[in-house]
Amino acid sequence: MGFMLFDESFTLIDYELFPKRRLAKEMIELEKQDLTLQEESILKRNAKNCTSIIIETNLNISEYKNLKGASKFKFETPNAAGEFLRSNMNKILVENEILEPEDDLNAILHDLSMGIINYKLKEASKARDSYLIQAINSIGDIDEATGKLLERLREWYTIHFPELNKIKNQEKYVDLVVEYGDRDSIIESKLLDEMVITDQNPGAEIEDFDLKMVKIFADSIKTLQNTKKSLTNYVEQKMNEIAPNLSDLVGSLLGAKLIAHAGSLERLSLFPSSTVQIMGAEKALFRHLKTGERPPKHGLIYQYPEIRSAKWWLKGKIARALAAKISLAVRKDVYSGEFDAGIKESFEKHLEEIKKKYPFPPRTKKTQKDAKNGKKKMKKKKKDKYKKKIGDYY
Amino acid sequence: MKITQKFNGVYEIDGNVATENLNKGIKVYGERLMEIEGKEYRIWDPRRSKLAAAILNGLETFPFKEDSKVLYLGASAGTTPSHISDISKKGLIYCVEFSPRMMRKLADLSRERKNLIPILDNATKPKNYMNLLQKVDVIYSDVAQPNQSELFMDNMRLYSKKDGIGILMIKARSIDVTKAPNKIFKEEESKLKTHGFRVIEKVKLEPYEKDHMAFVCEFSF
Repeated sequence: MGFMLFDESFTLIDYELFPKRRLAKEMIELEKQDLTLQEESILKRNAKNCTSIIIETNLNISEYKNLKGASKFKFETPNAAGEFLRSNMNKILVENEILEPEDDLNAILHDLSMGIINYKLKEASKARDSYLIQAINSIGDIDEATGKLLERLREWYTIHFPELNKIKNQEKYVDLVVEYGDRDSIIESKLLDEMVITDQNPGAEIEDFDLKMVKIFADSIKTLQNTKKSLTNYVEQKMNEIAPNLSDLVGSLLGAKLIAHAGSLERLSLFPSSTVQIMGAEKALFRHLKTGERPPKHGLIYQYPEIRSAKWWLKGKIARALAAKISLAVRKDVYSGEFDAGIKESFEKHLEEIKKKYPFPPRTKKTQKDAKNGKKKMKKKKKDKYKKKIGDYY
Repeated sequence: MKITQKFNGVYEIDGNVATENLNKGIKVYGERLMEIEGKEYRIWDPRRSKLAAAILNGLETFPFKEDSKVLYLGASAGTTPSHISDISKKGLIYCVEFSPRMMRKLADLSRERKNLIPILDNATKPKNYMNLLQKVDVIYSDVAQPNQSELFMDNMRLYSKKDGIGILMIKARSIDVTKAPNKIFKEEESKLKTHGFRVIEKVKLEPYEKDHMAFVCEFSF
């Protein structure tokens, strides 16, 4: 609303209001940590007459240093006058004729907050990575949906052409159905030379009327697959733009997934690398915390080919190293934005070192014993639980 | 159909709690609407709203009056705030919510309900929204954060009137998943007591919400 100055006995000495129409804008300015004109002028006007002014503010104190009479300012948030104002806002405003009696304070406050909220919501969705996060999530959704639909298509089309199930490539399968339709024309197209097709036709006949429906269904799957392709392209480009280091290190898709999981690029950069390492394995992590089972080695990172294909005793080590480099790369992306090829190089070096250092699985008897003991303990615990439950019933 | 008034503005219809609809004919979150004797009531779903769950589980102190000022921390999409705005028709409800995504829904709701004041800010830093607030009669806190009782107490000290009442919904699982809920409730209660609050009432929210407890408190001096 504005600024108010009270004396020791809480009578209003002076006030300076924001213009009514620009209320929301001025409040936003205030929140941006800027000193507003109105506050400046009220302080200047009264600095001479007062021995000290106690200011209640959310701004940095340094903002006030350049004003006249700054030595008189004291800062206390919240202070007694503010408390007084908040307790009797309506009364004070009406008594001092700031608020006309017919004005409704509640309505004014409501309008004001709506103005601020609209502005803030706009700001919040401006973030560079919000579109990217939606895109990567939709890739996941499309994957899930096409998987289901493909299963249905295969089952549907198998009635007519069972041998075609030998084709494992999903896209090719869909293409064939969409392009050629029935069994005879697929065989005629001679795209299936690697397959042996017997003369005996184990499938059922299909009428044009039925075939048309299958084709339409297959066509919609094809559209989805194409959408996925263009989405993937989009994510790649976008990742190169906003997180070049991250996409260089782990690839744009995995990088985008990490960002989506964290909520934003900035948040990802704030995570410690141990968190990055097990992101996506929350279930396993909480199971570990709850029951004392062994902790997860990797979460989303597992999709990184080097980890997936690594030997089992190396997986955890590589995951840890990679997570550290991811944190590094993301921080570089957020805070400098420059591309640095050295991150990936140093990771690859480290990878080789790990492989060299641990060529064989650890085979000390101690660890094996520990593992066995752990399992036994778990089993015992479970049994105890079971017993207790039976005891409850009888 | 039997209708009895349970608290000021809260009615009981066939074992359900309900409030009188402020915006006739408009649903907020897909709840059931009922018309009895020319008045329209919104059935209050205890599985969606912890306050309704507490009422059904025998909450006795109900501080919301027709002209109450309320500070609601963790307003989310506005399920519970909408019912409070039904009750406190002439009052004011400051709804603090930090997530822009939830706030979008809440902002839509507040456009229709003039007594809701949405604030997009962090409830752990109550000073941030100091220049919008007045002192309030009730503070309702439903923030699933590990430090939820601390932030509740901070807000109480800053914004509650001297005789103000605070309702705190504790979610044991978001304080520490590994500890036993009952232990956490005890710890939180002693925290409130040592920091100058008196717990008037505590209500468990089973079976509607697991491992939740509602605390009603006030300043003890």
